[in-house]
Amino acid sequence: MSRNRLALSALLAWHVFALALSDIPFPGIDPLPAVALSRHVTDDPIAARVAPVLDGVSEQLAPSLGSVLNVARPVRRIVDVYVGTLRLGQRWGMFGNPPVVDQYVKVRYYVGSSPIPGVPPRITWTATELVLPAHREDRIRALQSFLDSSRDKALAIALDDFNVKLAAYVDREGRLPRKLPDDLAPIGRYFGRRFARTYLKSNERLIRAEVWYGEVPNPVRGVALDPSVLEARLNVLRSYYGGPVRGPALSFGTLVYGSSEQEADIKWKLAYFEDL
Amino acid sequence: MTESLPRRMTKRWETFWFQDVPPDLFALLRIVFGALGLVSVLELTPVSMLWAIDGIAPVPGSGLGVRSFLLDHGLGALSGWAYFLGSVAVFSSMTLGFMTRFAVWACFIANAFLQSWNHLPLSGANQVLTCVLFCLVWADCSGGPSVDTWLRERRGVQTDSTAQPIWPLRLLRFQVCLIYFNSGISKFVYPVWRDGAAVHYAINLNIFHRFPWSLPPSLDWTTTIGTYVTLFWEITFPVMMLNRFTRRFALLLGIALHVGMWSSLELGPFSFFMIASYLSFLDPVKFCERYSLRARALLKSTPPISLTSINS
Repeated sequence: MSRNRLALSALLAWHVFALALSDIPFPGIDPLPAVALSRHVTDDPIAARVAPVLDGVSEQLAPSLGSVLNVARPVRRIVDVYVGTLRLGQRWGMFGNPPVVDQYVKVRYYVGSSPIPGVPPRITWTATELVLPAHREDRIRALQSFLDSSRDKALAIALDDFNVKLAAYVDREGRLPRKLPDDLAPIGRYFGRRFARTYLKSNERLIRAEVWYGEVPNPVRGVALDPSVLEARLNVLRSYYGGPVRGPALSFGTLVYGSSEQEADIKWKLAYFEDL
Repeated sequence: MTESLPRRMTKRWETFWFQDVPPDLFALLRIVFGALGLVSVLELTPVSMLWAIDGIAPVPGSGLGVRSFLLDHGLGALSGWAYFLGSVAVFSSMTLGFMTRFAVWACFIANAFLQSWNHLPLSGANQVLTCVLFCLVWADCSGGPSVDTWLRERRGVQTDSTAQPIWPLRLLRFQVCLIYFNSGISKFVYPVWRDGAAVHYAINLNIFHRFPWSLPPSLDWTTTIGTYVTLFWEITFPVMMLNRFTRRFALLLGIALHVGMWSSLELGPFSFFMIASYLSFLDPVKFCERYSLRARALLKSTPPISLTSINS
């Protein structure tokens, strides 16, 4: 073998080894759940047979694999640097733990105007816009939805990032500080700018933007959703499909993170706000 | 006299990684992934929302400070447009095979850097594309049909592309196996996959589901089967690639599963990327023999290649 090929062989061997090692989820390095048994297996005859077998394999493998991985842990850190530098990070956990809830995000805008220059504006009207999902839930998704999927993805990942960081912001008593992670700020700012450009008059300005997160639990396997409940939810959503819904001159008063409201079966929680 | 074991192993290693193959499959991969890359760039629109620094992108302040610098100097929107148009240009160039070497490298860098620029709208498709491009940058993908070949022909330069070492293709195959294996293992650790309910929840998610109605409970058993088939197929995918028959089965099942996912879930271009990555499992010699107009000339100029060694 020529010298060139020898050197290239070493590089290829290292590369393959590094990719393979970075591919294995490591406890303590990768976000892994604690070993837990399957749920709801009795409601499905196939799952009732297969799930116990898979649980057994998982329980047997976890301890022995853990000790093997502990030996490889220092190498994994070197591998991570190599793989990270080349941007070849191997995280392919798509739908690894799919959410069991439908997710929604709406942005509420507080518009103010001041009759006299220099005087702080007072709130004259509000509007609320549904921004996630981008498509109508009562129609089949086609080409436009393909384009909108990036926006949905961006909002969903921003929510995930926010929730991960939020846990670190909570103090020992479970209280939140006044300052929140800024992962949802781009949502309020972007849609706020777009709203202001389209709907505000020259003497009006956006005073505050709030990002509300809503969710509805999806029924477990084998259970159908009550059609009247679904229809009530769709009616709420349809009211948003025409664009921002104008509301009265509400004062945001003491609204803080975690403030809640409900529309049909959608439970909304104030996730982020910014006074502009 | 028989060869010693180390010598045989070295020979086998050399054959496995460095066997010369016709370049046509690399050209096909260039065209397909260039076009898909272009689609995925155009999907990330509107530009003001997903490319501009002040769009739906992480608030600047971390990393090298490039985004902060651009935003502070009022270049947030302009730099977003420049990045977008630059990406469109290099992916178009890659698809057409114009300045191919440069274009493939530029596509890799542009796509990989996108993670730092704005990771929020990126799906697995972006990650797959980065990994595929990393493999393609090491090969000469300028084979025809391409603008480069056409220009060479116009200048009267010999256009028969030289044979390529197979190792970039091997890396790509390895990468595809890793994607599925990692995905399968990541799923296996979650109870929702072991209890067979994962597909039920996935297809009911309002952000992803394509149809506005859900499966009736009487048909939920199909989602349980779908969950277990996906889990089994992903974890065993690398092993199934070792045999010709299981490989064919795994790839056909993969196409069926991805088409099924695409028809029930809106996942952007992810399904297309994964199905396209299966092209790397084609036999480059057979592909050249069947589909290349230049096959005969090329095969005359290169020594015969053992198909069994390529597919081992």
